[in-house]
Amino acid sequence: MSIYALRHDAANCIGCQACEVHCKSNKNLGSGPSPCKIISTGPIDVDGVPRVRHTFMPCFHCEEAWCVKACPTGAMTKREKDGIVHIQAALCVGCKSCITACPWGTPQWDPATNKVVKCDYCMDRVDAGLQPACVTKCVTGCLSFGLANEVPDPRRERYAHYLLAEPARSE
Amino acid sequence: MSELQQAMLPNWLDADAAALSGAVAPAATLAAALPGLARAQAMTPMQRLQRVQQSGLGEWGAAGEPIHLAWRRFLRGQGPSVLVIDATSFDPRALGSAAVLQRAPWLLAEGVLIAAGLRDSMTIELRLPAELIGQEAAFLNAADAIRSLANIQVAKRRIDVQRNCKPGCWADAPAGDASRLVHTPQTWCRIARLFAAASGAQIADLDASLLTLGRGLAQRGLVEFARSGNLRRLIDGWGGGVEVDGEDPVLVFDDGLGGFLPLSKADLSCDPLALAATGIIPSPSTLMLMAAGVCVVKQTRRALYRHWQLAEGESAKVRGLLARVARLTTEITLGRGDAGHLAALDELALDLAIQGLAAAWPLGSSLRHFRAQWEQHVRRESCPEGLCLERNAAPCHSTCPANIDIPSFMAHLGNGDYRSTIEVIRRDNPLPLTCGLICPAPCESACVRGSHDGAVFIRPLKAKAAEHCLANGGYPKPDLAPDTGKRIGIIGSGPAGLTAAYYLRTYGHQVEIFEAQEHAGGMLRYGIPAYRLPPDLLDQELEQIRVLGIPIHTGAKVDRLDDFRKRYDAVFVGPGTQTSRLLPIPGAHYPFVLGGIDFLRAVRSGEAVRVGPRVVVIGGGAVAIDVAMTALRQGAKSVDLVSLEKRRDMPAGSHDIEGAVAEGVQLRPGWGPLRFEEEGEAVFQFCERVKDETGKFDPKFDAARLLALEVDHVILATGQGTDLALLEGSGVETVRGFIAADRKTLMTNVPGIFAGGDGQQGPRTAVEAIRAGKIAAASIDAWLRGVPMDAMTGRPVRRAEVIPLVVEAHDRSHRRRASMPEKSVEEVLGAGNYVRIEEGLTDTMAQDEVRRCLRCDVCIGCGMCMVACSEMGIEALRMGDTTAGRLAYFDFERAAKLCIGCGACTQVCPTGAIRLEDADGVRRTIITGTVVCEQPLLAFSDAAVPTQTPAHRDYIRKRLPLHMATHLERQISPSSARQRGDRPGVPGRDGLPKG
Repeated sequence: MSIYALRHDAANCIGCQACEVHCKSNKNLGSGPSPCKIISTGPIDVDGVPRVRHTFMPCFHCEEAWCVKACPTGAMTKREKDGIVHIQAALCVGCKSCITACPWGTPQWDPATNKVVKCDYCMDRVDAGLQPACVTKCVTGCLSFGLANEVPDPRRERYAHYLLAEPARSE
Repeated sequence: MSELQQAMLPNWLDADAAALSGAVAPAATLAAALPGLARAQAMTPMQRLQRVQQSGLGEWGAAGEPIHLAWRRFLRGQGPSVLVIDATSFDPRALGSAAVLQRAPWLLAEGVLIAAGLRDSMTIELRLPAELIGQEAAFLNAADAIRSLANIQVAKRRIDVQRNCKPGCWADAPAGDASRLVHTPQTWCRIARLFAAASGAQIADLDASLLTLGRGLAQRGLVEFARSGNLRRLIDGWGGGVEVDGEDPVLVFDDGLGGFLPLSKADLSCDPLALAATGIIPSPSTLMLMAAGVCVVKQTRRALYRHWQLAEGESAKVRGLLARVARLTTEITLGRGDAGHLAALDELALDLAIQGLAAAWPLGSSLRHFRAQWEQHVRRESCPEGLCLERNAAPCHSTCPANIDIPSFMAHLGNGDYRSTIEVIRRDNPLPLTCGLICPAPCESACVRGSHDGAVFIRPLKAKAAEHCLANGGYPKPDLAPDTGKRIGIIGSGPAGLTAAYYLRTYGHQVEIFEAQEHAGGMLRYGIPAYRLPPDLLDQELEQIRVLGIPIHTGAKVDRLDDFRKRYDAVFVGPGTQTSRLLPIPGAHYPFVLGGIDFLRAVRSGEAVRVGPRVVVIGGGAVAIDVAMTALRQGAKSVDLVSLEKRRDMPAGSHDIEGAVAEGVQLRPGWGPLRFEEEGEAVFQFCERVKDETGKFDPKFDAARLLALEVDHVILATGQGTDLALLEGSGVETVRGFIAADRKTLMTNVPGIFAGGDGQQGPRTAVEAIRAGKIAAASIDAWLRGVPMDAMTGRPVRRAEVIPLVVEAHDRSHRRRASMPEKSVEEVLGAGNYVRIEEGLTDTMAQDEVRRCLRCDVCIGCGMCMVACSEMGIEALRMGDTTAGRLAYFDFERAAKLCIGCGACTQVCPTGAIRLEDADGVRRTIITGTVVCEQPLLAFSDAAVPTQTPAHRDYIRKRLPLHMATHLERQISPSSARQRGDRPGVPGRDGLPKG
């Protein structure tokens, strides 16, 4: 896994897909490829209220990545300094082996360039000290990015707040 | 090897030895003949190693490494060993190894024998490249002579001659193999010289190598390359330096396979390490210079492909690496590169060097010394030659003087669409039938298939389409632009005049043609015999021009151009070359000496011309052949065709010459006319050469060798002139007896008067006159409108985008060129018999022939599909080298065995020439219309559209460790996999093992 964590706070996510839009626009992609994706399920019954659940599916940046192993041309590589799994477009010949090899179908096919494109945490932005495009423009702030040890897990925080707020509410 | 200049070569390359073929020993006793061996035999192997180490002798033929390193490694090895004489070179034009094999076979054998004592090697391997086969004789003779001198009855050591060897892709011999000691022939000789000298003595030429100088340098051929010298000063010293124009020429080492260097950076030592530090091959075998305007990126691409080819049989990793650099460079030349490509190449160049691959030289040196060119290509700004970054037309298309879009019309023809065929042809040439019968077809000599199994028979296919259209109501009419109200007068109804009229009419102008002769057609009617172009067919074609509203006034001679000009908005003059030029030799005025074109015209006009019975035709061109064969039909019993050129250099087509010979014409090539005697004798002198070294016409004769022929008639087909009487008073200038016109616009010095065809450019082919007519029409139109001429005029333009024909792979690979059905000599020969000789291709033959077309308009021969496949490690695709400087598919069958159907080739293809077709659960890989591989597609368990073949999935499975490959068994499509949003390692889901 990379040294970064990109966290998604499902409770605050409204499924607006702004993350997808900004991801694509940062990578200059047309219709089709979507390096990060909001998968929505539902509606389901939560306390009698219909709710839709949203899951954020970027790339997991696996420690032992299927795509890296499957790539025959060395285009898909894991960056040594931070473990980001990314593709060097010039080296990709478009055999799509990585797409099949990834258990989650994460690498995306870009018909405009005839090459694979995938989530690389917006390496260029990260190297410039910025956040990935999806995080930067998330409408509700439900996405957070940083070094894995430093990013607070929203679920943990929320649970703590919940515990702290509990006695007051019961009074 | 006569071009070798002994002064520039070491004295051990004995010029006389070549004549002896190594069979005669240089001295009577073995010790005297092989002094080095005698000394070496007194030394232990370690002492020999020490001697080599102290001398600092290097492998000057290749990597430039001191050879003691190889010797030490070799000495440490155990078991049977082989001594290798490696005569291969990256550049087949290198002369060094051939010179050593011919001129120093004893020294070569001596060097090998000295090393044979190191480990008592039993096998001597001589690796010969294809171009040196046969050169091993002197060495084998020397080995035999040594055995007989030494009284060896049963040969102990075996000499193993390996032919057709190729150089490896490695910068140096692989270090691991201690059983082989490999040196180039020249290094083995230097070893012998080293041991021949007394220990401690200085040996002058050990520090030098043999270098072959190529084009761009004043001195050509083999020279001794002093490794202690300064490269720039050496270059200036060799016979006067460089012979290339421009600021900073490019030094090309080993035909580019050894790297590139600007001359301005050549101020460096020739020491191998110094050269290596500059990024070029440490020990080059050839050197040439290219002008500064050369595209080094393109040259690098060529060199990288060659390195990849040389790596045939190497590991997938090595081949993948070489394929990758070739592909990235090609993408850059095609304008598909970006900064990422350059960054990747920089890294890969380093990688190549680390791996010890010789491809690091061209790539590394080119990236380093010609960075600006690479960056211009990557930014898609410019290429110094202007050839990269754009799609070049097919070779046939660009070679045709009329620039007919040949691949497109062939595909239409293959679809049976004769009207579209004619439409495409007539966009560039309004006379498809005529050209289909008489064109010398320069397109066919450019055909990529020509170097493989015979050019596509393009010419008769035009006639085929034309005949079908004419039989069904005529050619499709071209769109005519709205009437412009301009009137243009055209003088001459030959191919130039007809073409100009046709295109001017399509531009919306009113045109009129004036022809002095009784019938229209010009040279087509009066200069070409009826057995090639029957008059009724010509009439049909002319009718197709007339119907557009183009009147042709025959028997209407224009006497004064200046008066004629006043009647029209513009005028085109295409008078052709109607007069024979006589030879300035004694007796040329005698009445039995006739002009060739006058003779043909008289015959075609229906005059009762009788010649013979003994006729001599002088000339070697197409007209001479026509004259000779016409003479046979006008009474001649014997016809001698006397040409200045040797048979293979005669300008006439070889098929035409064969036809004439078959009819009984006696060829007498290599004789120049000297005089004609009144009583009927023609005297010739022997012609030693026609052109000088630079290709200029400069015949040299041997006045002592004479040929005298008894004749009744001599017909001269040696040159034609044009009648310029009509120009009088018009002010139009002439040059060397022809009308002078601007090369681009064809306008004469008088505004509004344009000229083209033979009367302007001198006697040439019909298709070149058609080109002139087409350019003149565009130029006249532009001039009348007051706009600049279309920049694409006179250049190949795509006229259609026709989907390649569906052709079966075996047919496409193996079908041979059709042979033209012709009437037998008995049927066509005889007085007054002008029956057409060629019968034309049958419909079936024509359909087969168009399917031989490789569609070079679609497949531009960049080779990216092939190297991408190599990068994958599959190697299912192989293109062949062609003389046209591009690659081409000749083998459409290989893929069926090897292809995994991944489709990477189709993704990198810049033109869509190779593509996938998924239908009915089957994936077809198609190269320009030919299905090369057919595979079933895997069905996904989630009922998504199948996108993968079982072979591709197996390929991925093999690349993944077992525990990672299991999920492939789910057989779900990638989009479903994502939709499910699985988390990694969740046990029990989707086939992942529990726990």
